[in-house]
Parts: sequence; structure tokens; C-alpha cells
Amino acid sequence: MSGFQHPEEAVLLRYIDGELPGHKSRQIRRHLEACWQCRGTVEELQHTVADCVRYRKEIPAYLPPPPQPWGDLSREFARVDATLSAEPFWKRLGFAVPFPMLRQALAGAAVLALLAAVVYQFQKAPTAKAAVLLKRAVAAEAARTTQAHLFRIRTRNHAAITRAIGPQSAKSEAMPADVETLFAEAHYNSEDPLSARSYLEWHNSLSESDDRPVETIADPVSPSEWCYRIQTAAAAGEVANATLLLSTQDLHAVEGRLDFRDQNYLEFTEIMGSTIAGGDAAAHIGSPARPAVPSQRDAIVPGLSASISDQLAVYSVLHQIGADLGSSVEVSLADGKVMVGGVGVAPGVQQRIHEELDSRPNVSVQFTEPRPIAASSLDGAAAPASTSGAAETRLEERLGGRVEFQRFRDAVLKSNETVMDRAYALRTLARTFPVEVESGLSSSDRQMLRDMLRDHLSRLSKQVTEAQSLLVPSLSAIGARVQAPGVVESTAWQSSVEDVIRASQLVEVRLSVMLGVTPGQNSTSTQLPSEVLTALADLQAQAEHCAALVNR
Amino acid sequence: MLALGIQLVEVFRLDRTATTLQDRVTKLFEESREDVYRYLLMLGLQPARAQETVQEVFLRLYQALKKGEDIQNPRGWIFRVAHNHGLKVRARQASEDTFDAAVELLAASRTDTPEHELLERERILQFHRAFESLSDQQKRCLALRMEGLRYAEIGSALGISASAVGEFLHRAMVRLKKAGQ
Repeated sequence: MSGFQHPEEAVLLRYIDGELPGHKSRQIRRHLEACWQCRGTVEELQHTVADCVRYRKEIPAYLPPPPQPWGDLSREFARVDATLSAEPFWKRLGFAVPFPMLRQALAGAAVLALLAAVVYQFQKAPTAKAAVLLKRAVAAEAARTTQAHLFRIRTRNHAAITRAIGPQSAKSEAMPADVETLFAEAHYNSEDPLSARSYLEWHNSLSESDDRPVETIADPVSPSEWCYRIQTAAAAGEVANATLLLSTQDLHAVEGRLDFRDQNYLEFTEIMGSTIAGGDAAAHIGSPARPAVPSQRDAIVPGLSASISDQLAVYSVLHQIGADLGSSVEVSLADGKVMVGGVGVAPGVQQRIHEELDSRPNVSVQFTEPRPIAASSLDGAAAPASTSGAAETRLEERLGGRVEFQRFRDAVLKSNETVMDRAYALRTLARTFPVEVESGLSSSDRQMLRDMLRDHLSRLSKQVTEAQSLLVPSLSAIGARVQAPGVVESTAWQSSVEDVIRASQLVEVRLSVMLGVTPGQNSTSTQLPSEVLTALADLQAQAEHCAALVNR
Repeated sequence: MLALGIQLVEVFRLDRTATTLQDRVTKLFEESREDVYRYLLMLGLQPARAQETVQEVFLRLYQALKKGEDIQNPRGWIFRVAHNHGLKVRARQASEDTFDAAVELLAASRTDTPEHELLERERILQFHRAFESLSDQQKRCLALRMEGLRYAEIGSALGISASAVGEFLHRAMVRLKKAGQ
């Protein structure tokens, strides 16, 4: 943008939003000083911004107010505290000590004392009452207008048996005799196993049992949801342990599992979105309420013309042509078809997608607002800093001037953007193919999925290594040190992907603050460079852990 | 030795149960709950669900902070979690209709509006219609931007890149500008 080449309006918007990198922002400012036309455009934008501000201020008067007075959070805090204190002690200690080295030191120095305390803690810990929670869940179940839902049963010998309660019972698959026998041996209601009522009945039938404290955990299928986990150990009988997960939202049962003493198991899992309070159940299934973010557990309901396998095939095609990065292409299952669409997808990419997918049955490709997006992907990632942070200044000195620093920053930010694109592509796959959906895939489909994951992960790792090779020499020179990366804990690649996302977001935030792209509370902190390197090391560790889980 | 261990445990516990953490979350709750509530209505949650969700989100913030999570910008975090959790809640309210801000009806019912405010009301409604005509992503980006989130934070909430956020916002602004003319 030199001379009288006017910046695009989108760039001007980023400029007034403070989202351009410093050097670009200065270029625009100089241009605006010279160009009345662009100043007019900026003023129009500012006018619309002012309209937005007024709208935000006025609109509450036209919206329904909250139906209840706002509650007092303090009582709820106590509930959270109680749930946290029911967590294993070592886990809480892990969170309490953020630095792994300190954690190790503590563990070494005070291990005996802590062990003694752990025992003490367990004895003292308030046991959240599983029985009370179960009773509440049973009451909540009874209050629902209908118990209609779909669920799947798995055992050691059966991968997936779809069963249904209520109006969808036509979708029920026959119960194999050996599964029926397992239920009989467990003395567990085989008709409606995925319910608090059946669990409570079984629980009450035990002569001797031991409930573990109720824990709050992330829903294993959709990790951003929360569940209460009730665990019961039975002293006698065929079943050794039983687990029931209840949604914290409305206490409905989302997953149950009975572990037999002979290593066999019965697992029943809700097919998400299948719990219907009334009306035409069949019409609801398969037509997700939100096409952009489809309820994936719907996708495995039989009877749809397009299946999750078709959706996977579409992802694979997008992956081959690189259209699964940048998150602007959306894929969903709706109306018996795999819908491919998105807003702001570059025309060239759209054309490639049409070429690859138009001929496929069950696939519908439709893009909206086919206006080309701005060519530069870097603009949006960056914002000017009003003041230079400490690290920024030191880096600038170290690199030999502003221009060098800007070049360095652009390279780092570009590298980071690539990492984020990979991370989001991974997340899309993790959320589309949660554990139970993946387990329903054929082995060739699973192979295809895992190949895609491996590819994303290895490229992500490579990109992180590249970012490290850019950053480590310069940051080490200004005194940054890498601390040991955090602990990797996930046991399924899907939840591990969420860890990768968290780690990459942390890298992004810290990088942006350090490079003066985003104003941050601690941009002057001398610790920032170390934090950046540590976050990168952590991301690398999470990605490696995830790759190991994918390869398992 | 047991005493030392217990002491250590209590030190860590005190660190996190300090009422300052509760105060911080409560303050943020009081400052931001109406904003989050409004955002959730925009997402299509019924008012009662939206209100419950707001509380849930702030409790999750408390839980996350208490577990020692490093949250640089709690307001950005709140909106990100509200967005993701809100979509789940909306999917669950299957039996109810998605909330459609019946702004027009509410506005019409306010018969006590003084004459001089009628013009202003008409302007807000016109802007509201333009806002409603935006695509979902445009609306979400714009609503989060109005709440003061940076592009990267919006991108993180919606699972899109910061440059895509810029693009959505720009399209939204172009349409709103036309409507305002």
C-alpha cells in the first residue's frame, strides 16, 4: 500500500479496532493523514460503531428481563468447594502448585508428610451423598413428560446395539441373548438401563455397597459439558463396580457402566439430543437444531441416507485439498445429507470443493456470500500496542532495530496462525467424532480418521518446532528459560485435543502480549519470554501425547 | 510429620479458598451478568435457560480459578464459555422454540412511550431488524465485539481465526451501514 493505493475497508476497520500490527497501523495512519477519501470511509465506520454502541445500550429495554431476581452466588460457591474437595487430593494439589519443578521439589521434600496428610484428608473429606443425588435424579426423571430416548449398549462382545425407549422403539435393535443374560446376572433393568431409577433400584438391591464421593467431571463425549459421576463398589454379586454419569444441567443419565468381576462390562450411552419431551421424535432425530454445530450423536442414528461415514469422507477430501484449515468451511449432517458450506470461503477454494464433492451422492455444497476474503491472513491476527512491553523493547534491541523486530514478529505470528489453524482442524474432528461415534466407525473409516489426525498433529508439531527455532535463540538471549511442561493426563485422543487447544491458545495469548500485538495486563512482566517458551514446550508435549494416543 | 502435612494442605487450601476469589467472581458476575444474559438471548436461549446458564458460567469461572487455571482475561473467558455452553443448552431446549427476541411486540406493548422517544424507538427497531438480518456468525462476532472482546478472543470463542473474525465483522458493518443510511 504505497502512494494512492487505498487500503480496503476491512483493513480500515481493523485499524480503528486496534487490530493491526504496529508497522501496518502506522502506514495506515500516514495514509489517512494524506487521504480525505479514506478518512471519510473511517468516519462512516465510526458512525456505524456509534450506532452499535447505542443499540447495545438501548436494546435491553426491549428484551425480556431475567425471569427471576439474580441469585446469590455465594451458596453455589460452597457447592463448588464441596465438589472440589471430593476430588482426589493429589489432583487438587497438582492444580494448586502451578510449577512442575516446585511440585517435584515439594513431592520430594514432603512426600511422607503429604502421604500421611492424604490419608487424613481422605478420612476427613466430606462425602457428597450419592444416594441423595440419585434420588433427586429419579425425581427429575419422573417429572419429565416422557422418558423417550435412544441409547447404545456396548459389551466386551458387542460394539454397539442401539436401543430406544418411547415412541422411537421401532429403532430398537434386538437384544442378543448373551447381553440379556448379562443384565439378568447383574440384576439390572435391561429395559431402561440408562436411567437413575434403574441404577437406584440396582443400588438398593445390594446387600453391601460402598459409594465413592460424587465427582464432577467433563462429559466424556462432549467435554465442555459437566457431569456428576456416581460410583458404587458392590461387595458381592457378579458386578464389581458401577458408574452412572448424570448431567449437571438437569440430572438426566448420560452414561452408565457395569463392570463385572470376570472383566466383561455393560456400557450404555445416551445418543445425544435423543431425549425428547414430546412431539414427533422421529422428525427431530437427524435434523439437528443447529446445522453449523450439529449434534453429532444424532449422526449415528440409523435411517439417515447420509451417515457419519460420509461426513468423514468429506472431511478427508477437504483435508486432501487443504480446505479444512482456517475453519471457514463448515460440514454438518442435516436432512439426510452432508452439508458443506461456509461464509467467506475464498472463491478458488470453493471451486476446488465443488469439483471434488459435487458429484458425490448425499453431499450438498452451498456457500453463502461468495465475496472474496482479504488476501492477507496476517492482518487479523495482530493489533498495535499502545506502549511497548519490556520484552518487546529488549527483543528489539537484541534483534537490531524496529524493522528486524517487525520481520521477526510477522514470522512468529504467521507460524502461530498456522498452529492455530491445525489445532482448530483437530478440534473439529475431535468434536465430530467423539469416542463413542468413533467406536461405531468401520476399521477403514477409523484408519482414515486417524491418518488425518496424524497428519495434522505432525504438521502442528513441526510448526511448533519451527516457532521454537525462531524464538528460542532470541528469547534465551534476553534471559528466558523453559520450565518443564505441564502434565499430560488425557486418555482419549479426543480429550487430548482439547488440551492441545488450550495449550495453543495459551501460546497465542502469551505471544500476542509479548510481541505487543494485544495489550495485556502483564506485558511489562519480565517473565513473559519464559512463559512463552514454557507454553510452547507444553503445547509440544500435549501434541506428542495426543499423537501417541492416536497411534495407540 | 502428619501435622506438617496437614499444615501444607491448609496453606494451599487457604490460598485458593480465600474469599478474595469469591469476591472477584461475584464482582464480575454483578458487572457482566446482564451482558452475558443478553448474549445468550441472542444465541436463541429462552430467558429462563439463559439466566440459569449465566449462573452456571460464572460458577465454572470460579471453579476454574480455584483449580489454579491461568485466565488472563476473565471477561473474554466468560463469553467464550457462555457461547459454547449456550449452544449446548439451546440444543437441549428441543421441545421449546428457539428464543426469538420478540422485540417488535415488546416495543409495541410499551404504549406509555412519550412522543419524543418514538423516533428513537423506531431507530433502534430499524437497527435491530438489520442486526437480525445478519448471518449467525456475523451476529455473534458483532455481539462479542460490542462486549469489548478482541478479535483473537472472539475467534477463540467461536473456533475461527482472528482474520475470519475481521472478515465477518466487516461484512456485518457494511450491512449495518447500509441499513443506517
